[in-house]
Amino acid sequence: MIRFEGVEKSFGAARALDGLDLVVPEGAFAVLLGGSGAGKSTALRLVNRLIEPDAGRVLLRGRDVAAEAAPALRRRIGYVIQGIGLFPHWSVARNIGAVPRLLGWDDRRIAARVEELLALLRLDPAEYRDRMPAELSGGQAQRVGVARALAADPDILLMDEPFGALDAVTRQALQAELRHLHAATGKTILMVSHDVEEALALATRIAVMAEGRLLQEGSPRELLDSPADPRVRDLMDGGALGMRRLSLVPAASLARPDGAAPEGLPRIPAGATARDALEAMLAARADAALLEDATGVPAGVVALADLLRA
Amino acid sequence: MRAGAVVPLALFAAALLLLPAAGPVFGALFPEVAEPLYRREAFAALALNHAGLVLFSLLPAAAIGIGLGIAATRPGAAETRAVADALVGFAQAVPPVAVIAIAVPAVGFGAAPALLALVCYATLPVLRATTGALATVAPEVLDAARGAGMTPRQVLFQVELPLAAPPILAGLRVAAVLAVATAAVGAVAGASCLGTPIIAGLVNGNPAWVVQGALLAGLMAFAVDGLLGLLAPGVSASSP
Amino acid sequence: MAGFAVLAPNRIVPPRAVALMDADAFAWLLPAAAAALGAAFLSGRAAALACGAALAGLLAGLGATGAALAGGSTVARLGPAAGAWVAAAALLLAARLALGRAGAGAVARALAAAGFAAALAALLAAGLLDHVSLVREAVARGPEVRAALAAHLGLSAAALLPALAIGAALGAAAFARPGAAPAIIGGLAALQVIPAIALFALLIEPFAALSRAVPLLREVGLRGIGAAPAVFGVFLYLLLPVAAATRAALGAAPAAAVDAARGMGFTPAQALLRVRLPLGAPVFLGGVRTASVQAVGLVTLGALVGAGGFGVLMFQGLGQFAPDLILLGALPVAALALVLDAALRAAEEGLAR
Repeated sequence: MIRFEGVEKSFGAARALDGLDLVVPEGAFAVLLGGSGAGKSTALRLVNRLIEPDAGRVLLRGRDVAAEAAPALRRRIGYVIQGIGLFPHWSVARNIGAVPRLLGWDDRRIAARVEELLALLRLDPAEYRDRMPAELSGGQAQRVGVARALAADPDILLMDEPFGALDAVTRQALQAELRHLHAATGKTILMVSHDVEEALALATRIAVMAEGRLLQEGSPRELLDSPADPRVRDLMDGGALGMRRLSLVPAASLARPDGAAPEGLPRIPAGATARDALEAMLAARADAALLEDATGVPAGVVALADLLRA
Repeated sequence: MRAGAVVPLALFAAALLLLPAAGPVFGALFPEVAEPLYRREAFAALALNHAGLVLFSLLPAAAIGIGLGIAATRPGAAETRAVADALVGFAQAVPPVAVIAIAVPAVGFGAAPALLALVCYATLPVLRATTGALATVAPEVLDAARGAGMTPRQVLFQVELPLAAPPILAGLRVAAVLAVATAAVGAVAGASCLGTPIIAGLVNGNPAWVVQGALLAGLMAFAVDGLLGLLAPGVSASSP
Repeated sequence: MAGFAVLAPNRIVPPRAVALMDADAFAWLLPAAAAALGAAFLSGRAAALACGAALAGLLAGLGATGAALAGGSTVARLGPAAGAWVAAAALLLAARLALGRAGAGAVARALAAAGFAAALAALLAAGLLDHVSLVREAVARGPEVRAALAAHLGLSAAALLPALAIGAALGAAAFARPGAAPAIIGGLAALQVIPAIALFALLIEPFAALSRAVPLLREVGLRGIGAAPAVFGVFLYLLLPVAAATRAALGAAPAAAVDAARGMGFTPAQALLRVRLPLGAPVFLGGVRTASVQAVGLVTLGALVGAGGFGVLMFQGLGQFAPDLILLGALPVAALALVLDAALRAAEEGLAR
């Protein structure tokens, strides 16, 4: 659990954080959302003490982060930044092994961990282990960046716009993997983003910030349905409120039993969202879609009218 | 690359070996000169002295330049950086020969004024290269290093210095070549080096000695440039 | 020479050291030291002023001490020694740092230096520095110093002006034909590796031969020993900074700006004149500055092969071990180089704006 208590921070005359109070529950995937200058990155960097607060404090599991030496603290917190920040003079394996090496792991344990993480992030260890960062594509480099952050198995992961510099296709692929990773490991993730779609796709909790303050914190659905501030409403609406709502609802929750479904309905996979269902119907010019179960057998029907319940 | 280092070195060695026996050649080239070969000191001894001046100025210069460069680029060292910049600015404008001359009243004749000027001038390129190279290490790499939990010392030795090493070595190469040239000027203040036959020749109206000293000094500069090129390939000391 | 200053009864007799205690210079030095100390607590501008005043005070103190110690003698002279040198250097550095802290640009720094020079001139005119050895020497050798200044400037210009023309042409060629650039720039760079003293010396014989072979050249004064090898040698060294700066200046315009100019229908000549040259001018001027400062320094060495200039005084002084004469040659060279550097930096800053 990460708790910000009345945190203030100024850089010269510029006030980056103006009394931030925020709780990130254990195991949450929390996204700090807001425009540039909102104070999101400042808040994130206070957690691993890359920045020290002027006033207030940051607690990890009830313990003030200032109570621990910064290097030791940082070694048990994963950190991923935009632009990746891989060490250009080290191979992929050495980059991933950076924190374990700082922690004094033996070489065999580090090597095994590197293999494990490369496989987890779908990079063939034999092919990528000895490459240099300059020999990686942007997406591959960011995978290595995530692997490096996970190397010492931290239970908190800080991510500062990790996918900001990637093309749309690569970004979506990495977002999907990050979602799996969060589901599989249950780590607490705190991520900074300015992209509402990204926040809706990943977050279990969203904290909207502006001008160094927290505007609203809640589940994605809460923020969509009952924004507490006009700025939150504008941000969350963005001219696509309905579609965004649909994207938060699993199609399975709207499906009816597969009675006598007409032939030729478009099919959608088990994990599809209501938005995917609508997309399938519009693409096929049909008024319903056939939901498959995990094995690909028809499990129910989602009709156009059902989407109104989302 | 390798040839670029070996050829000048071989030429220098050959000149050093052949010159003592080249009396008749210079006699034929300069028939009006009574003593066509410089014999007051052996060329090898002069070359050794010259190399000694270069080496003993380069080592402190490297230590000062790299140390000051590191200090000037630490966070919160804006004042140090300002001192370094001001020193570099002053010293770059004042020619080495003026420093040697100004040093003579202070430290006397001999190797001392040359060494003083050499250390001053060899420090500059190293300092400039070090601050420049450390400043170009990408901020996100530094951020990642600190975020990974490296101590400031670990960030410096494991990330910053390895990344900055090639430009620093290039700066060292510039410094070495500059030191060879400045050491030759040291002869005017009485330092014994390859500039000595040049000065002696000019004073005594003996062009043969001038050519002998100039040849060796020039070849030595190329040899040092080539040798250090092995350390810092890609960037020539003489590249703009 | 240790001590704060050195006193000599005349030019020939070796001087004796003067400690700070001997001199009743405290009246001058204490305010100077106080000003320097105070500089640490003052704002940048005031601190620079205090340091400048302290430096002037230090010099005036030397002069007054000299006058007091010399008694009635008109030939006794007081020279600065290690103590005075260190104090002066520390004050200069402090003044430079204070100017930096005040956020002064090159223009303001040049103005501050000019102000200090004016104060120095006032001290000289008031006769306060008459007993300082360097001033003694300069007064005694007035015509020589003026001749050296004229020769030094003349030789520097004689090397610099052709180097600007030919260096710029070479740099433009290197820019226009990237294939030829390594050969051009690399060739000029290789020249830089040769120690100046060696190059000048090696040029004597070819010029002597040329002079023997072509009587006409001999009649216009071209000889092996003299200005010719020095000017030609300096010219060769200056080609690299000018050519490299020209090439960089032509390439200084962002590719997007040049591309936009082409897209808007500029002819290549218009793109050069309206985009590349204005954007590259400060870079080129930077090369001119490097070349000018180098010219002033290199010409000094030219005295070794018989060219004139301040080098003559300096090497004479080295030959006679006359510290004042050495300084009379070396200090103006340093001052000339610093003035050129400051003036051209100020011009660069003005252009870049």
